[in-house]
This record gives sequence, C-alpha cells and structure tokens, in this order.
Amino acid sequence: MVILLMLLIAVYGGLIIYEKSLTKKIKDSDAQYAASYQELIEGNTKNVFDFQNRLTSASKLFPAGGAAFENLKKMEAVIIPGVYISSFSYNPSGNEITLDIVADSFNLLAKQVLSFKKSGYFSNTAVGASQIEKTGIRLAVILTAK
Amino acid sequence: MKLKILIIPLLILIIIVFSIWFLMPTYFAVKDTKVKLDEATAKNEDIKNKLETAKSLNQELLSKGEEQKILNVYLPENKEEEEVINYFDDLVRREGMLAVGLALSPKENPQPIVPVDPSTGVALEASSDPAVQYMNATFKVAGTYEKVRDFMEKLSKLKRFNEISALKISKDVSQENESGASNSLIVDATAGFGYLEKIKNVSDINNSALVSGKFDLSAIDYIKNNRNTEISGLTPDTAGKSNPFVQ
Repeated sequence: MVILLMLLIAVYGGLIIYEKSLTKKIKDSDAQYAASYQELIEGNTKNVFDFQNRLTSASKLFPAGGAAFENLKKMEAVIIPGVYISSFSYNPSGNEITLDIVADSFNLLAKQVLSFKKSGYFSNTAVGASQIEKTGIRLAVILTAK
Repeated sequence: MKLKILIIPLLILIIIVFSIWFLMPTYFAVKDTKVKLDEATAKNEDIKNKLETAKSLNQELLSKGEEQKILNVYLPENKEEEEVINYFDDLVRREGMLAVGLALSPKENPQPIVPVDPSTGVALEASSDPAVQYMNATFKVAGTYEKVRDFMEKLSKLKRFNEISALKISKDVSQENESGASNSLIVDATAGFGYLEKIKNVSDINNSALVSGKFDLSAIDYIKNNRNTEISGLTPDTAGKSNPFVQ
C-alpha cells in the first residue's frame, strides 16, 4: 500500500512537471504566433492583401457598369417605324426606363406598346398619359428591364 | 497491533482521497493543457504557412506589374479627378460632340453590408478592409444619336470602373428646324467612378489568396476582355507663368 501511495505521489509530481512544461510550450507557441502575425500584417506582404482586396472588390463589380448602354441599345430593336423616342431616362436602382414616345396615330402607339411587351426585354410595361402636340401624339411609358 | 490493523484502511483512504482530490484533477488539467497546446501549435503552423504563402505571393507580385497596372486603373487608390476630366474631354472630342458641362462631386457611399451566419442568423464580424467608394461625374453633352450611342458605349467600356446612376437623353429643342425635327440629342447623365483606397492596416488574415496559395486573376481577364476604350494619356505641362490671370 505504501509503495502504491509513493507511486501515486510520484505520478502526481510527474504530472505537475509535465503540465508546467506544456504551459511553457503554449507560451512559446503563442509568442511565435504573435511574432509571425506582426510580420504578416506589418511586413512588406501588405501588398498581397491590397492586391487581393482589389481583385475581390473588382470581381464584385462585374458585370455592373454597362446597363445604361445595354438598355439604350435595346431601344434600337424595339422601336417600330413611325414611332420615335423624344426622351429616354434610365434609373438603375429599379432598372427602369422612362420613355416619351411620339407617333402620328394612337394605332402606332398601340403597336409600339405591343412591341415592348413582345420583345422579351422587359418584365413590366406601364403606359402613362398621352398628349397631342404639333409633332404628334406623345405617350409616356415606363419599362422595367429584365 | 491495533495500529497495524488501522494503517491499511487508513492508507486505502489516503490513496482514495489523494487520487480524487489531487491526482485526478491534475490529470484532467494536463489533458486540457495538452489540447490547448495542440490548438496553439496548429494556430502557429497555420500562421507560419500563411506568412510563407504571403512571402511567396509577394515575390509573385513582382512579376505581375501589368496585372497590377490594369487593376489600379480599374480601381485607382484615390479619386483621380484629373483622369475623369480627361476621359470626358477625350470621349467628347473623339465623337465630335458638344460638351455642355461637367461637375464632379463625392457620392454618398453605401453602408457596408454586415455579413450574417446563414445557419444562426447572427451578424458576423465585418471586414474592415477598404471598400469601393465612388465619385460622381455629372455631365451634359450634345450630339446625334450615333455619336451619343458611341459615347455611351465607350464610357461603359472605359478601363476605369464607372456606372451610370442617372441618364436622360432628350431631343435638343434648340436645334429644331422649321418642321420641328431635330437630329441633335442632349444627354444628361451621372456616372459614379469607383476607387479603392490602399489597405493601411491588415485586419483579416484569412485572405482567399493566402488560403488558396494563389491569386485568382479572373478579374484581370474580365477587365482585359470587356474594358477596352483607349484614352489619350494625361501628361503634365511645364508649370509657371509671370501673370497667372492671363492666358
């Protein structure tokens, strides 16, 4: 029994010494980590972070930037003969195109509205007020681009 | 004799008490410390690997001068107002349009979006890396539809990122002839020109390049393939004159 007790005390002592050595190793490892961390964030590797941030930020911007032009180009494909645009506005927040279109007759305006709807470019076509002017009949239309 | 009889149970009791009160807690403490050491070692290995990767990527960057240049034109480090004025002038002159006006102003930049853990819905720590900021260029130009179209196309393909935030194209009534017809259009537009400040303090070391060990250069390829409007370079003239109030 005494031998067992002595053995247990020895194991206990050994565990305490081992724990201290482990704690020291943790401290050493933490110190190495801190040194490496400082070198990583303050050294000349900062360019790497900047280049990567620039790459990531640039990627997030694609394919934005050309929507206004693309929507203007769509008008060439959807405006029918006899009708012309007197005013074109583009609002990217709702992807909305506000148009004032002019034609000689309501029939042409109706065909134009049908052309917008059949084109497949727009998810919504909202027709506003019309006004008869010396140049023709002006109609306001709001298109929501897809 | 009685004492000898008592010693054995007493020793057993001491062994039990010693084991429960001292030995077991120390054993579990050592076990915990070992786990902590393993974690610290893994963390240390990870940062060492990242540091090595960063050094190697930094070396790689030295051979990527062209890519850096493309990216710095697409998203410069500051507003570079002079370049925006030069773009405007070059595009207008090249298309033979009439420049009516140009105004540059800072744009209210959007608040950074705080990322949310989709599984818990808890807000994650947002990166403090610089985000893209914008400067608005509000301009007015006049020209025929073909010129306007080309102008808009070239603007959308400028090597520097810009995005139209407002556009109005209308008939130029001042150019209307007797029959009321006019081929001239007036363009009123606002384009946001992006810029991205250089990183001053690195806050997030879990950068995708350090994790993967390489730069994903697909953004450069995209810019090369989609942004090809050439603009005459801006070179400074010799400064200094005796009377700065005369031309």
